[in-house]
Amino acid sequence: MNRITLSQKILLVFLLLTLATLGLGATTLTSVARLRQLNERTSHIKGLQVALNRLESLQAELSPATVEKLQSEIDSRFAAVHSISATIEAEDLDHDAVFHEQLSKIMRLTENYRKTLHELAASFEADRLFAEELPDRQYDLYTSLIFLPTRERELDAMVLDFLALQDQAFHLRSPVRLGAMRRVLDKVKDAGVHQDLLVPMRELLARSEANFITHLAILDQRNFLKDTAENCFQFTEKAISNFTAQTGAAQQRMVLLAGFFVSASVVLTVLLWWVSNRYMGRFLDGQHRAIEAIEAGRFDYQPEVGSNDELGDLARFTARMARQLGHSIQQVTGSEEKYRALVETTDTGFVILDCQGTVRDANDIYLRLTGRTDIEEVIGRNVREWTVAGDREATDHALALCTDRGGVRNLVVEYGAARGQGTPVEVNATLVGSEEGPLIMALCRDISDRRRAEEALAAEKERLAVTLRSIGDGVITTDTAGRVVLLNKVAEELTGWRQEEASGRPLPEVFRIVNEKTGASCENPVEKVLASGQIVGLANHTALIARDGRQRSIADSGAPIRDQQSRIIGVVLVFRDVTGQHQMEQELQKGKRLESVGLLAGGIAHDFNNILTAVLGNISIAGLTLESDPPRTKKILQEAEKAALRARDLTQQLLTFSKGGAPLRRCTDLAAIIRDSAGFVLSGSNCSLQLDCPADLWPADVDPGQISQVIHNLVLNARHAMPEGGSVAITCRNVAAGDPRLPPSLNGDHLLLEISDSGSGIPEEIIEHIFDPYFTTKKQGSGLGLAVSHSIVRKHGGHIGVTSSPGRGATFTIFLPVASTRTLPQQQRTDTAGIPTGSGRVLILDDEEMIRRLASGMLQQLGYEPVCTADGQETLTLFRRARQAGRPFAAVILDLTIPGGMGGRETARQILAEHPEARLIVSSGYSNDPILADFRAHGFCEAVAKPYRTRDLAEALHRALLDAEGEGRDKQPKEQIRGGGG
Amino acid sequence: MPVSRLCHLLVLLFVLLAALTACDRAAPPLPVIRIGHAPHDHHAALYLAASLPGYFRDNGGVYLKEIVPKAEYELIDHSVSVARLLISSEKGGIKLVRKLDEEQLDLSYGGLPAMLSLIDQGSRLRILVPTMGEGAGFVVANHLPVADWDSFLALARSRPEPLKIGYKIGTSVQNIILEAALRESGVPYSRDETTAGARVVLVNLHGTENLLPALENNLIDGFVVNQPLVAMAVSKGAGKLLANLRDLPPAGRWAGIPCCALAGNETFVGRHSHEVETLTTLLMRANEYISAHPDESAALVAAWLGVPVAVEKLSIPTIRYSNVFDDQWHRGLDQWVETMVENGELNGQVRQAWQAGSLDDVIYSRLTEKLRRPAQ
Repeated sequence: MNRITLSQKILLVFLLLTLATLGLGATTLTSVARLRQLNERTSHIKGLQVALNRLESLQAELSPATVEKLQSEIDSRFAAVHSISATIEAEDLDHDAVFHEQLSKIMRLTENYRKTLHELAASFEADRLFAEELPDRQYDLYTSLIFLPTRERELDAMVLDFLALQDQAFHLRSPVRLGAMRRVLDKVKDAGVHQDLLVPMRELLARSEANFITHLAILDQRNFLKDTAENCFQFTEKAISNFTAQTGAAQQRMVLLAGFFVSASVVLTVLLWWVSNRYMGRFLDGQHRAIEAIEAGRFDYQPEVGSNDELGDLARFTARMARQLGHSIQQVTGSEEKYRALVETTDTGFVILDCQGTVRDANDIYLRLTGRTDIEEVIGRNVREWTVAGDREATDHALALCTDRGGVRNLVVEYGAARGQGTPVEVNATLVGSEEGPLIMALCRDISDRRRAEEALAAEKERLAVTLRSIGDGVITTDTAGRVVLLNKVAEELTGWRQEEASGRPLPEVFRIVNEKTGASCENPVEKVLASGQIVGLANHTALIARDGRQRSIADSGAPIRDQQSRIIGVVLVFRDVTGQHQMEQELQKGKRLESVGLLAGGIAHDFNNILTAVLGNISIAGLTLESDPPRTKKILQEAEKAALRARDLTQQLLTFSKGGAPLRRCTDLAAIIRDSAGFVLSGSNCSLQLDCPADLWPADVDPGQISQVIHNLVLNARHAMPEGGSVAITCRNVAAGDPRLPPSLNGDHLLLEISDSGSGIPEEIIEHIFDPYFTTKKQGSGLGLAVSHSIVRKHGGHIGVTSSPGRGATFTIFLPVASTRTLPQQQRTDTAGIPTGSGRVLILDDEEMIRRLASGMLQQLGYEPVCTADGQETLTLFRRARQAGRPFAAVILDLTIPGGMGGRETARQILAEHPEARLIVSSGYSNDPILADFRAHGFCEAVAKPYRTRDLAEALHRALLDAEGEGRDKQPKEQIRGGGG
Repeated sequence: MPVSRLCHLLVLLFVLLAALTACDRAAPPLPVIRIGHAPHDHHAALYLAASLPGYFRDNGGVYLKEIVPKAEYELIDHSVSVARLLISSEKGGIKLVRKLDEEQLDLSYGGLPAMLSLIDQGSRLRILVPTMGEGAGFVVANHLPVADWDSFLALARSRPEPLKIGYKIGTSVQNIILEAALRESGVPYSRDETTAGARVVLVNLHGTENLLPALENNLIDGFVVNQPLVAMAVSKGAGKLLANLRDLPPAGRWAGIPCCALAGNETFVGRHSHEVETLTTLLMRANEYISAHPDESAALVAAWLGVPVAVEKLSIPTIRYSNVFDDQWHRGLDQWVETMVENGELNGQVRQAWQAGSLDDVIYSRLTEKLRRPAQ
């Protein structure tokens, strides 16, 4: 297929348009020529018409008189007509058949006209000749008549009548006259007239008849000429009309042709436009589809190459370009996919913004950073929306920086989540150009972990610093030259050097250590560590001499500081003040000593206590029995009871000292106890009490009786230390956990109780022994007061210490635990108006016969029905039988220790297993037995320690049974003792 | 606006303009047919068609509705107006044919020789259908001692002076027949009375109207003419019928000889074929009506022509009305052509066609070609 270029096609279009224009012009010229020809022909026809008119007028003039004269004129006018006809015929160039036919008719008619006109002329000539000869013939006839040899009058009349008829026939052109002439002639002939007369008459008649026929011919010829002329005129008129019509038709045709050509030109133009439009449209549509295909990513689309020209080349080029573009895009897409994958898989948020901060695109990480879940919540929105309020100004500034300087680095802002917690983000942004204008591409990294790490690091540093500061040991680091690098707070306190003062100084200058026994300087531990490369400890009895000269016993160790390559870059010394530890160790030794002493005293006191129970109980029973006896006996019994009670108190103190006697702790108002006890001791003395207790003093978790005893002992000692009088200062403080005043052995919140006197003080050499039992400097002292106080405080988990300077009095410092609640219970009411009594059966288990009888007697005294057993198994049997018999025991009093048998604890377990509602009371001579202190935990309702009085037993029973009647066994016992009769 | 929509708009505009133009056109006027006739009973079919509208409406459905008596009618075909008919009357057949040739008429009755003569000269007129044959006679003066053709011949041969026989026009059916008969009879004749030896002088009296006066005043001894002048002359006593021309020698040659036919300008016929065909159909039926109803026809024709009914009753039986292209027609046509060729009156296309045997292609109208087929 030959290639037709676009230029050639355009040329073809213009050629077609030019041809259309030429056609239009040619048509116009042809039509004008045709019109001109028609006009000329019409003009000639009109000339012919004029000539015919002139011919017709000539014919009208034609008469016998004029015929001779007009002959030449006729010929000339016919020549003119023929000349015009020939001219017209010659002009019939277009071979118009209709016109030719009409012209032929005209020519034929004019020829007929000419012939007829000549015939008419001939007729007229004949008529003229007849008219000319007529007088001669009439004369001849008349002379013939005259010269007849014989004439008759009748003949003359007939001849004259004949002549008259002839004259009439000639002038009237009447056949009747001719008929009359014939009849006259017949009469003349019948008359036998001479031939000389008949011949002229016959000739005249014949000539007259011929003249009449000529006349008829003239009439006919004239009619013919008239008709012919009329027809000629009609034909010429028709021809003119035809020409006019042709002219009009030609004009119309011209207009039509012009219109046609114009229309054709328009149509051609439109057609060419349509073809061009279709051609270009198809090309453009193809390009459009190509672009759509390219836009849709179909780079391998089949190009519509409609033409083998430049546009086809362009379409092919577009297709080729599309394929190359597809290839490039594939590469770009691959690359983009890689980068997209990189962007999507990286833990870094990626976002594209415009310069106003509106998000154009973002990856999932960025979406998560914003705290949104749907990308639509981010795209098209401004970053300010999820930037926390405090960082928006920084964000705006960063956007401005990006716009002005092309980027921003390490901007840290916090993105507030739409829901939930915000995220700290580090932003690095760069301004890039794009088709849409400058865009900001930003990488946003979640620095939560880093921040946490930083915070953790900071916290760690802080903690390390705090730790370093908080370490109870002193820490000093040095470099390898032995110069101080760091001191912690403890080290600062112990050495008396501040960090900034000590830094860079030689260690011996700051850390002066000596043997506390000999006072000799110790070897520099840094040098030892550097020399050995190992951890080294200080020798015992090393003392640190502080900057202010104070000396403290320290325990120390030195260790090399190594870097990652295990190279020693310094030395760390850790040392602590072990002065207190030494004291505690001494105290511990003292405690152990006291404990061994107490163990002995406790055993003695227990046995002695049982004895005293019997003694005291019997004295009590005797006193009740002898209530109505004479006062002397009762007084004796009362003295005996007092002695027994002092013995019991003594044994109780021994027991308390020995095992401490488990304190029965309650939430206690310490200040009240102090006021009661101290006030009681100092009442009536020359010493005053200075009590300093804050209003918000925490309640103490103590046994009020034991603590009261401690205060009693200490205040009593203080009073004894000031025989000349003075003041005893008692201070109470809340000491929270961690308070440095707390001894190292104590944890948690405590109450600090300091009791100071202004006495002579305690000599240093005895101060170590003041808590030993039976150690006293007083003549009447038992030597158990401070020992018992020490024991009580320890049993409370507290601490007791003493500081004293000679001549400046002594101060006892006591730490006591605080109650779990910070509010004191309602103040207990005590009613000692009477001993409560009761009723019901009470089962008693005790291995001591003496105790069983004593308890039985007390119970009977109180109104109960006692049943005694010495064995736990027997107790169980009796308890079950009683219940089976329908007479259950109201309460059971169980002794804990039954040598060789089931004790009270096991017996109680089995009873409660069968009858949980049983009311059990524990009793023991070991007042420090833990079960007594926490009897409810072991299922007992009450506890009563031996030796007990009737009142003690009555109140215990009363509380136990009252609980059973009232709130049940699981509830706390009523602290209120109800009074009973008797 | 899109170009395609503009194109659609232009097309729609053109269609609307065309529709408006079509609607604006008034109903086309009825075509006018100008038909000519001579006032004699050879053309009686036209008079009957115009005079019997009811009859022809009921018989065939095609009839003429009178608008102006004898002048203007409306041709109706089954209640549908087909054309307007203008009737023109001329004295002589040659004039009718001449007017037809000159397109002053569209259709016309006329003598067949005149038609052949003009066709020969190149006229566009063409013969549509035959109309009639015969219908011409030879009338002589009452005093002339002849009773038939033979006695006429005897008289012509014996009388010292030639007999003068008039005729109405230069070329007519009648004088052709007469001249042919004279030639056949061997009697010298001439149109010039000065011709020596001529026993019969044929006198052109230049018009039918001159025949009777000439006969009555002895200018001529007789004349040949078509009906009803023959019947009129006889009934008027102006002459006596020597012979019907169909009986002139050669014997039987002129029996049924076609006289008049209906011809039309072929251009007009081609342009208005339906109207011409409808009118031709009506005229043919009228022609047939004359043959079927001669008396009624005589009365109607007499009324149209203004002649006594008796004249028509004498005339009509002598006319053979026929529309059929039968053998007689073709034979008679050949005789006319042959005679006219012999007389030197045909020298053009008719003569050539006749000699070539393709006369039908030249003289007949295509419209009636189907009527000629059965006869061919």
